[in-house]
Amino acid sequence: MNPNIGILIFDSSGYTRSLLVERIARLGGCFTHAYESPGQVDCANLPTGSGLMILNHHTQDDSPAQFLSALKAAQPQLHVLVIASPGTAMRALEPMRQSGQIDALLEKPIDPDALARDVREQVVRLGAQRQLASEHLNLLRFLPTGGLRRIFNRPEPGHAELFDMTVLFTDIRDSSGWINESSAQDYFVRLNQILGAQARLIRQYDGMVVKTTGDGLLAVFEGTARCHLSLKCAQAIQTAAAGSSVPVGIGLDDGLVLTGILGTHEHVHFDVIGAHVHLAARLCGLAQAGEILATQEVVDKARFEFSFAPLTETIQVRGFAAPVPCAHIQPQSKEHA
Amino acid sequence: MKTRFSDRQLSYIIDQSLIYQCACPAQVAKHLIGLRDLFAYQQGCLNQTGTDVAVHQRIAADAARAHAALEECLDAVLELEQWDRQTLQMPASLQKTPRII
Repeated sequence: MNPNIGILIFDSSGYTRSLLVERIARLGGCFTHAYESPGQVDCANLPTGSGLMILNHHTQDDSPAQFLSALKAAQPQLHVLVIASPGTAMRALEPMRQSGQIDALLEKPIDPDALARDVREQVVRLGAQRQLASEHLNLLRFLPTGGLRRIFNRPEPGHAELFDMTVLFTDIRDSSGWINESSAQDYFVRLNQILGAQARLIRQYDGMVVKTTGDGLLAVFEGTARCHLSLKCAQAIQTAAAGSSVPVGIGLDDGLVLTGILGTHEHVHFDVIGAHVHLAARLCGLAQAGEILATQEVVDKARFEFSFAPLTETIQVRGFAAPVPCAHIQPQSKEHA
Repeated sequence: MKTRFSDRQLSYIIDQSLIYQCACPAQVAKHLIGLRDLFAYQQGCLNQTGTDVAVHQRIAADAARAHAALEECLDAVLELEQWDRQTLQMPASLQKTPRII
């Protein structure tokens, strides 16, 4: 059983409450919180891990209807099990079971084995549900961030859409020398720290990480301010890299990019493709350590006022017929947006 | 149908006997509630033929007899087990010793 499932027990009688706690504790793998009255808890802030609630209703108790309604409204996932006497109490609570505010209604005197069975089933179900949710969250971490996730509204292989985007590539310079100087494990830990820091900056500037590229990242930016934000982000990455003594080169281009899902029905992965992606990758490769090499189009659209004007140059890039006007931006260049 | 115990009193007896193994009076109380439900149901049944009337009357009469017998039984059991007849409190000697409070 999942040890993280909390069971709340409400019972106004200390005697029967202790019997219930004892019975549930025998199941193992779960923990209990016992209360004399519903007034002792805040429905919106139940103890962490609570998945199941057992209320032993006594004839002399106030009607639990209001409490159960509030509880189910605040905690719709909580499994609510109520134990009541046959007759009047049971008849009063039956409509709440039918409306879903009570998930299970047991009649007193209860069969302890039946109670144990019901609770165990629920705990197993809740455990499986939480495991699934946790796996789902873990899987989401493998997907691209931000608005790019919309592509997964139609997760069929071959599905692709065109978007105006700024493409940013980063690449750690001289990483082969670096990997030879350290163990593979140390290299991996360090690389993960650096790329993690870059990814955080990309998110901070509203960018979306598409994937890692060995010792760098591919990210895209959307929206009207995408060139401005991507350039600011590139500067922030270079500033951080300068402080960490791991030099980085960055390439930037802007234009229509095809985003889509590649693969088969058994295995798919997300990617962005197009001439602008290729060009940004090539510029990243050409950038010097500590340099941002961006197309002039990105610089113009970014509308920066640099303290030191970037060095502009028309570059013949492999795979592109026409020379590309570009700007070399050094980390010391300060922008005034 | 005449009653010695009110619905509320029966519920109170049941409330104190949460689980089967210490629930003998509660079992009787539970069946008394069931018999009251059966009796009330017969009173509300539709009578479309003469046979219907006879069937419902027979069931109601036997439910009332069974009810009277079980109420007497409950009365005797409470006496034997020395329940407090005023409060209908279960004697401490019958309570299982809770291991966790």
